[in-house]
Amino acid sequence: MSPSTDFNSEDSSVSPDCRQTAALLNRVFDNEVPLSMLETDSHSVSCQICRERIATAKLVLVAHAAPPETVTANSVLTDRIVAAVLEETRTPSHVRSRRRIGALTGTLAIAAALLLAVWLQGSKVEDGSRTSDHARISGTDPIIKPESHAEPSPPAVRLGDEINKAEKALLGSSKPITEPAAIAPQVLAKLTDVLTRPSAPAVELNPARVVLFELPEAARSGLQPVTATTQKAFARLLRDVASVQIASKPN
Amino acid sequence: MHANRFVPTVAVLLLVSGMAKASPRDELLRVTPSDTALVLLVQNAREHRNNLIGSPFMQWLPSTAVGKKLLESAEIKLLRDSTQMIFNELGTTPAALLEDVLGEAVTFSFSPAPADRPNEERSLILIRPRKPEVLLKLIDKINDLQIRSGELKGVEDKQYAGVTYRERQKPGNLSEYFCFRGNIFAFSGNESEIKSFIDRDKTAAKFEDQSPVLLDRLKKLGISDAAAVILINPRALDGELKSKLASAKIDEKRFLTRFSEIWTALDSAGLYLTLDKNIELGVSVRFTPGKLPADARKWFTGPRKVTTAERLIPQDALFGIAGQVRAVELIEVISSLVPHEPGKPGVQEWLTEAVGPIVGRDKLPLVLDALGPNWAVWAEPPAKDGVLPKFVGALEISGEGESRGKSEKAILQAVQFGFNRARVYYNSNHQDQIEIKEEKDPSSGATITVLVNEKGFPPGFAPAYAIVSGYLVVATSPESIRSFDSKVPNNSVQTDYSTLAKLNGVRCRAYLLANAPHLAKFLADLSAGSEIALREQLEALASVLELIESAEVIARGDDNGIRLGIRVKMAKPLK
Repeated sequence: MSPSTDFNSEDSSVSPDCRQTAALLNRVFDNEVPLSMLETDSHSVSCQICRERIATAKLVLVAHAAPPETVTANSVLTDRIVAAVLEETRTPSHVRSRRRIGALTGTLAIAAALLLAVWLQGSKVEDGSRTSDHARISGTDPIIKPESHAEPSPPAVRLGDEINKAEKALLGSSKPITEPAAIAPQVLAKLTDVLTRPSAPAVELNPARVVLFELPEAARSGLQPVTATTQKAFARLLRDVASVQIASKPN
Repeated sequence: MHANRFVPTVAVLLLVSGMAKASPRDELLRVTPSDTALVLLVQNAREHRNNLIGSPFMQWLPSTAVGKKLLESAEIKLLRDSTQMIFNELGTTPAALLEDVLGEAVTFSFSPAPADRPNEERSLILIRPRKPEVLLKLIDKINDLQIRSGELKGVEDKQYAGVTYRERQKPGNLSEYFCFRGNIFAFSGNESEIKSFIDRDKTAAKFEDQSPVLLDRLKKLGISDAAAVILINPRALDGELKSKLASAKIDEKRFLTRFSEIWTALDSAGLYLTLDKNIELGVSVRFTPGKLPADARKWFTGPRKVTTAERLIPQDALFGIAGQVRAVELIEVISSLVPHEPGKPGVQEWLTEAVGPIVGRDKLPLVLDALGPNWAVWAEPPAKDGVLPKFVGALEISGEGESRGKSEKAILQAVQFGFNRARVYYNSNHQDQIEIKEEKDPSSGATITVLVNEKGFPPGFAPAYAIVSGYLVVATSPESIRSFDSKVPNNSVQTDYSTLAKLNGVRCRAYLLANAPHLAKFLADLSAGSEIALREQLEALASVLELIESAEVIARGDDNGIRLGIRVKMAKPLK
C-alpha cells in the first residue's frame, strides 16, 4: 500500500494529518518501515484518536511478535467489542462528531485542573525537601559558564527521552476522568434514540435535513485553519520543551 | 485654602500612578511578538498552585473514588517516576520550578510556515522568572546533562546588535537559541526569532509610556487575568481561510462564504481558562465595530443577562439547555448557511412542503412567527417507580388576541398529528397498544393529552403535551406538564450573563447511583449495548460526577463581542 492511498475515503471528516498517520501505520504493518518510525509521528502528540491508533498498533505488533499462547475467549469482552462495533457502525458520523465535541469540551477543564491537582498532590511531599534543594541554587554571574565535572558519573540520563515519557504518561493519566465523562453524551444519545424508536418513520425531508446535519462539519471545516495552527503550535511547543527532534511535516 | 491642598494632592496621585510597576505578565507581553498567529500565555501559576494545594478540594480529592483511581493509576505513577528522575538530575523540584522560574508568566508565540515557504515556521518561548539566577543555573545544568548524554554537541556564544545570545548545537546540524534580556528569558529554534526579540526589547516602548498591544487585546476580550490564554490573531490566518474558501466543495461553499464574512470582521479571539473558586473554560471574540454583518450582530454581540428561557428549567432538573430565538430568525440563519442548488428546494421550500400541510399552508407563516423566542429542554428525576428521567421541552407561543388563538390551535393540531402518527405506527407493529387519553390540569386549566401503554411502556413513561401559560410543553410524563411553571420569581437575581445550559452534578450522580443497574438493563434490553458494559460506564460516570456540584454554559457580551464559557463548580472550593 502506498503512502498516497486514501484512508477511510468514505469519511470526508478525517483530517489530512490523520490520513498521513494512518498511512504511516499501514506502512508499518506492511513491514515497509520499522515500528520505531511511529515515534517520529508528531501529529499523534496532539491527536488523541491517532495516539490511540498507534498505541493499539504497537500492542498488536508486539503481541504478534510474541510466541503464541492459548487464549480463552472472554464472552463478556466479546460482547463489549461487538456492541461497540455495532454502535460505531450504526451511528452517523455527524452524531459521532457531536458526541466527541461535547465530551471533549465538557471534560477538558475538569481534567486539566484535576491533573494539576494530582500532580501537585505528589509535589506536596517534595515541598519538604525544597529548602535543601533551594540552598544549592544560588545567584551566579549572568555570563553563563559551563560547570566542570571532574569525577566520573553514572550513565547520563537522556533528558529528552525522560520528558517524552513524562508527556505520554501525562496524556494517558487523564483517562479516569475523560473516559467516563465521554460516556455521558453517548448515554444520552442512547436514551433519546431508544425513547424515539416507537415513533413513525421520518418524513422524507431531503435535501434540507441532510445539509442541516452537515452544518457542524462545515463549521469544523471553516475553523480548520485555527485548529490546525493550534495543533501545530502545541506540537512545536512540546518539541521545544523536550528538545527532542521530531521530523516536521510539510503543510 | 482648597486650591492650596488640591494641587499637591493631584501631584502626589499622578506621581504614584506613574510609579505603578509593570507586572511580570506585562513585562513579558511588551516583548512578545504581536503579529504571530497564536500566543499562549500562562500567568500566576505559582499563586494558583498554592491556592490549589491548600484548597478544601485537594484535601478531599484522595478520599473520592476517582481521586483514588487517579492517584493509584499506572500513568500517574509513571509520570511521577519520570518527573522525579528529571528533577533529580536537574537538582530541583516541581515546587521550586514553579516558585522561582515558571510561576510568574510564560508565553509561547507561534505562526505556521506559509505553504510556499515551509522553513519559515516561527516560534518563541519567553519566560519571566521570579528568580532569574535560578533559571540560569537550571539552563547550565540542562546543557551540561545533554552534552554528557550526547543529545547536545555544545553551546556557543553569538553576538547580535551588541547583545550576547547562545546557540545549542545539536546533532544533525540542528540548533536552538536562547538569551536573557533584563528579566526575560527567550528560547527559540529559529535564530531570527531571537534576534527579533533582542530588537523588540531595545525598541519597544516602556510600559509606563504605552501599554503593550497584546495586553490591550486581552483586556478588550475580558480575559487579561485568566490563568491561561491562547490568543488568536485572525489576520495571520486570513490567507489560509481564503485558500480554503477557494477550494471548498459546493456543499461547504455557502457556509464558508458566510463564515468568511464574519471572520473578516473579527478583531481578535482567545481561548481562556480561569481558576478561581471554580473553573471556567471558554472562548472570547471581539469584532471591529461596524464590520460585522447586521444580521450577525444579534448572535455575536450585545450585553447578556438572565433570560426568561433559562428560568423555565426547574431547580430540581438534572440538566437542561435554554435559549432565546424566534423560529423565523433561526430559519433565516439556517437558510443563509446551507447550500442552495438551483432547481432544488431550499429550507423555506422544504418547510412549506413538509410542515405546511400539517398546520395548513395558509397558517404556516403565522405559526412560524408565533414560535419563540423563549424555549428550553431539560431532564427531571424519574417519576415514582420509574427508571428513566423525565424529559421536557417548552416552547413559547407569542402573539396576542385572535392571531395567537389561531397559532395555538394550529400548533396543537400539528403536535396531535405527530402523536397520532406515532401511535398508529406503534400499534400496527406491536401486540400491546397505545391509547390516547386527555386530562384536565386543575391548577392551570390546561388540557393534557397523554399516550398511555401500561404493558409496553417502561414505568413512568407516558408522552404528553399541552399548552400551558403560553408555552407548548411536550414531556415524557404528564407529571412534568402539571408542575411546569413559566412565572419569573419576584426575587430573581440579575446577572451580567445568560445561562445557555446547566447540569446539576449532585442530582445526576444521585440519579445514577439509584438507577444505574435498572437503566443498564433497560438499555441492554433494547439492544443499546451489553448490560455489564453499560452498568460499568454509568457507575464510572457517577464517580466523576462526585467531583462536580454543577456546570453551566454561560454567555457574556458587550457592543463589540461575546464570551462563551463552561463554568464548573467543583464539589469543594478550589481556593
